Formats: sequence, C-alpha cells, structure tokens
Amino acid sequence: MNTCSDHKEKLMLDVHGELTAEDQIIWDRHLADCDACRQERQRLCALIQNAKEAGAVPPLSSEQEQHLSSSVQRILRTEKPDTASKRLGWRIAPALGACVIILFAGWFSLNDFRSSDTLSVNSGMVPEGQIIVTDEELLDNMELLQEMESLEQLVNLLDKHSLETSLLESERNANHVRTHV
Amino acid sequence: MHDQDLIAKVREQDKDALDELFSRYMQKAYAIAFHLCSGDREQARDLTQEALLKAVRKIGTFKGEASFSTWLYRIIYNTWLDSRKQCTRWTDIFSPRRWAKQQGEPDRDILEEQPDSDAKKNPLNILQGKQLDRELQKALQELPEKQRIVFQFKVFNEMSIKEIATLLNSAEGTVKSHLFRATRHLQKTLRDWTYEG
Repeated sequence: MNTCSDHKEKLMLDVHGELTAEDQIIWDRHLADCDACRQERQRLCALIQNAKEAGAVPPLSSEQEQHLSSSVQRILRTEKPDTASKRLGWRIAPALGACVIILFAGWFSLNDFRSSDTLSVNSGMVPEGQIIVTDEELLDNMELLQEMESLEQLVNLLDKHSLETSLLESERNANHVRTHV
Repeated sequence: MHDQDLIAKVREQDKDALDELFSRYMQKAYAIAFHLCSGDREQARDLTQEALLKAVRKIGTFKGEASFSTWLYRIIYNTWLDSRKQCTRWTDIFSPRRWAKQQGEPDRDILEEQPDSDAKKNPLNILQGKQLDRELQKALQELPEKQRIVFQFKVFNEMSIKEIATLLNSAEGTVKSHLFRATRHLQKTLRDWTYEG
C-alpha cells in the first residue's frame, strides 16, 4: 500500500467524512507533503462515490408510499381491539387457572374429609361415643408403647456402660498381675 | 413540528401526526430495508411495513434517549434479523441445498458479471452503469455480514459512525474496524473499476 502507515486511520476517516477538525488540520498538512497519500485518497473517494451512485435506492413512488402508510394504519386499526382483549386474556387466564385449581383442591379435600368420617362411623356400625372411647384407648396404648421404647433404650445404655466398666476393671487387674510378675 | 411533539401526538392516537411521521421517515426506512434485503424491492417493502407497525405499537416505550430515526432504524434492523432467522430455519428444513446456492450463488453467470475486455480497456465509461452495480453487489455479498451492514449504513444510508454504533449496539472502534475492512475489500475487488489505466 502506498499510504503512510501512521495516517491510515486518518485517511479512512477522511474519505468517510468522519475526521475531527483537529485531525483534519494534521491530515491536510500531511497530504500537502505526501503524494502517495493524496493519490490513495483520490482512489478511495472515487470508489466511495461510485459505490454511492451504484447503490442508490430507487425511491418509493408517492402511490407506493401512500399504500404502505394506509396498509400499516389499516392493520393497526384492525388489531387494536384484539391486542387489548389478548392482553386482558393473558392477565386473567393465570388467575382463572389458579382459582380453578384451588376450587378443585378444596372440593377434593372436603370430600376426602367427609368420606373418612362416614367410613369410620359406618364400617363398624357402632355408636359415636364408643368410637371416641376406642380412640382414647388407642392413645393410651400409644403412650404405653412409647414408654416401653424409652425403657428399652435406658436398659441398653446401662448394659453398655456396665460392660465398658467391667472391661476396664479386667484390664486393670491384668496390668496389676503383670507388674507383680 | 419537532419529532418529540409529533411522537407525543401519535401516542394520543392522532392520525394526522402518524401520517406526518410516516411521510418523514418512510423513504429513509425503505432505503435501509432495501439495502438490508440486498436490493429486493418486495422484501424491502414488507420489511418497512413490518418495522413501521412495530414502531407504532412500541411508540410508548420510546424514551427519546437516542433520536427517533436511530430508534426506528434499530427496529428495522432487528426486524430484518428476526425475519432472516425464520427464513433460514424454514429453508434449512425444506431445502438446504437451495439455500446454500442462494447464499453463495457460485455459478450464476460469472462471465456475464465480469467486465468484458473492451470495458476493461476503458472502465471509466462503464462506472455509472449496471455492471458496476452488479459487481458492487457481488463484492458486498462476499463481505462478512457485519462489515457489509456497516458499509451499507455508512455509505448508502449516510449514517455517522456514532449512529451506527448505537444502532448495532457496538463500540465505535468496532464499527470503524468493520468499515475500514469493508472499504479495503471493496477497493481490492473493484480495483478495475476505480483505478485509472
């Protein structure tokens, strides 16, 4: 490349019209002295100018512009109520869903509760007072069972402790015998 | 009327304000869409329509931090990206070979696209012609996408580097780098068209 390496960026910015006023002064000074950069600049300017001309967009005719504008506005008019209802729908739908789930859950749990009551009453064909008594007995038994369990644990602990102490004693005796010997 | 006042009126569903806003930005929006769609007029019109629709729907979210034009151009760019993604997805599913051919267009009249020998002798005579347009399009398609878009925004749509950086959500240095590389590539590819003798 024929251009000076220090001014490569300035050259590019210049041909794209992006050079700051400050840099422009420095660049112009360099251009006055550097023939290669001047030629390179001319080539790049020609390239960009040609590209601009070749890439020019055929403008929309006024009819096309009008048509595009009216079609956008028509779509907006037709979709406005839809979008409003859609938004409302999106807001309401989760709330409705949650309500339905709560209702179902409530209904099922209530049914469950009722059926368990009726089953326990109906299956034994016994008066309600008797059922309460049997429940109390069951609770008493439960307490008894729990007490039994705790007693068992206590015995186990004591056994373990006594075993450990006897082992220690036997060890002590053995040591004593050894020292005597 | 200033853009901000016009936008405020559009927010209040003023039809005349919307007409005015469209007439101000329609041509520019179409020009950007035209280059993004590589010169396909129908696609460009569809893209413009879609982007304008989105812009009006979202006008409530416009805060005025950037200019309205930059905001609108960003919508056009994003809409183009979305439509291209969809297009790629469908064509990949149904016809991957055709898509590859469309992207590369390797065998389409290569000889026809080259400047003929007479033209090479005196390329300046044809610089204004359609052949350069085709050569330019071909050279642009060879560029990586970001470089091509930056070059198009800068040269064809006459945006500033700062504006392009805002639009693409990139650093100004990155935009400069893309622009310089694209310019160098085009300079190399279109050497016959720009160099004298």
